[in-house]
Amino acid sequence: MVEVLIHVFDVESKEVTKDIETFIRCLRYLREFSPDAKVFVLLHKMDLVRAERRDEVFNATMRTLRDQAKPFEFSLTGFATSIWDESLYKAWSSIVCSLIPNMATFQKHLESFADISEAQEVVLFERTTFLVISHVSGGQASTFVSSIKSKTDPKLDPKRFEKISNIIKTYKQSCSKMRSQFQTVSLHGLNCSAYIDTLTPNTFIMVVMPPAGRAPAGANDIDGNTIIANIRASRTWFQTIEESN
Amino acid sequence: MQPLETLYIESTAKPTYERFDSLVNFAVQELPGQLDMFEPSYDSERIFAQVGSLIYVIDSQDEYLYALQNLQQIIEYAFKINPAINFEVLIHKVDGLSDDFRLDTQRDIMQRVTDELVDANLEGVNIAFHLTSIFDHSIYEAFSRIIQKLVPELPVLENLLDILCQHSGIEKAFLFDVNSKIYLATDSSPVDVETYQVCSDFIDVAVDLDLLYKPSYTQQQQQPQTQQTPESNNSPGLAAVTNGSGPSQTPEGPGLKCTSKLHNGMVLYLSQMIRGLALVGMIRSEGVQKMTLVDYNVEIFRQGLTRVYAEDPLHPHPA
Repeated sequence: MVEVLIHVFDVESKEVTKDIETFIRCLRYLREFSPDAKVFVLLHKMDLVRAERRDEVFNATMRTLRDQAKPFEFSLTGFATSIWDESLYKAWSSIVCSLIPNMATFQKHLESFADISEAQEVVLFERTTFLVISHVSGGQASTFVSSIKSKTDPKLDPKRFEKISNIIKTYKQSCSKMRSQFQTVSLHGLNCSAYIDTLTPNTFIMVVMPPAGRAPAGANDIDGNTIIANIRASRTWFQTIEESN
Repeated sequence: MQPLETLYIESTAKPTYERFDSLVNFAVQELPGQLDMFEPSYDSERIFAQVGSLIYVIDSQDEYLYALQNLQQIIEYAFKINPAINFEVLIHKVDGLSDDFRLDTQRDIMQRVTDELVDANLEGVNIAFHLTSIFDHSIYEAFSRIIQKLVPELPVLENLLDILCQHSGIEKAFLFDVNSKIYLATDSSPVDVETYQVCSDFIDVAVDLDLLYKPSYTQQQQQPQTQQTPESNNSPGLAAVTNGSGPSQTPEGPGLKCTSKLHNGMVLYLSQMIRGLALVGMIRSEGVQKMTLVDYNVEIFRQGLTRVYAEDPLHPHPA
């Protein structure tokens, strides 16, 4: 059984027809043997296309692929990727996301967690890859996929989740130089306070609190220990959800 | 910019001059190698009279005999003008040499230079050698040591750090310049390259994460690479960090504070100090209760720093 097919296209490819042919053949067998599989298409090496033409190229290619794939009744999800920016993180996050069952339950509980903690943002990461699974911003939950469409806080960097993945991965690497891994990170910055901790055996959670100065009145007394205690308290609960799969 | 990215920089064609503002304000002048120092039109006399350190870079993968000869001439000339000058020789590109050969090369270069100096009857020349490469943190390490020689308060800072470490159970503490990742002082225990690397990477983690939640991201959107440039002072994010130590900040203390627990029982600790400096340390964790003590002691340390530098007439600081 195949759960997910990830087909990578070279955007600069010389033999487009042959590429599509291979893809169609994959779909045909997939239809036959794993009809429930999800299909993702990565249009890779996007950096080679001029920035203003990227959307156009992406949409045109996806349209062609969708037309070709119509007889097989798969819904294609496409991503424009490049190794020179965070777009690969984004694509893989979505793919990982689609593999997690009862995402909705996770989402709901994450939402109430954010609400109870009065957090600005709560982000859930997969443990080994540190890809974003889900996040709650300003009381509004969204899975990783839907957040791309719905604009969250317009003042913040929309690419921040991919960037966090990147930062933490680099940090993990530098920790491994000391033959160790990090357990927690807690940051009190000028712009936010952030806490990263283990949530379940497969996930990490990051809770972002507004900085003391900008917090709504009455919320100023929330300190790091409260958040850490909250994470600790919710751990068993989230673990139950994860194991119930 | 990471050291590795210097691969893509063009070689310097004419003398350049760059200022750094930090705890110690210093300026760097780069004189390209193809320039003849002894050309009469060139005002090397004035330059040598002013500088505190002279850094000479030797390509260790090349035939360096000519370079050494040139260095010899420069030393003789500069020493005559300004005997207090620190000569720093960077034996560069050592990544291409095997470990044994690396030390051999260093010994060979040191031997030749000192022999020449003896022959030239020059005594009391301050000269030091550093092995560097762009593929690791050695260049930061070398520059840290070079800058430290120019910090007159170094003994005071080291002493302060020693006391801090003793009383707070900190295993190793660095006083970093956040912009350049150079450490201006460290406690007296030996420096381990790995510890330094982890500490300096930790600064990135803290600064970058904090920047992501800066309300107006548009300013820094132009820099997709989140790594900080050692040379640039114009990054808006870093300006914010440096401003954090300014008087306009909330009085309750340091702006940025970051801790991280590792699986091997160590805790990384970062706390912003005055003027774009940050204290980064490594603590063996015996319990969370002690962290409060560390926080308190670090705050005292910060006040100590402020007092040391409040006296500095060259760099008036309001605190």
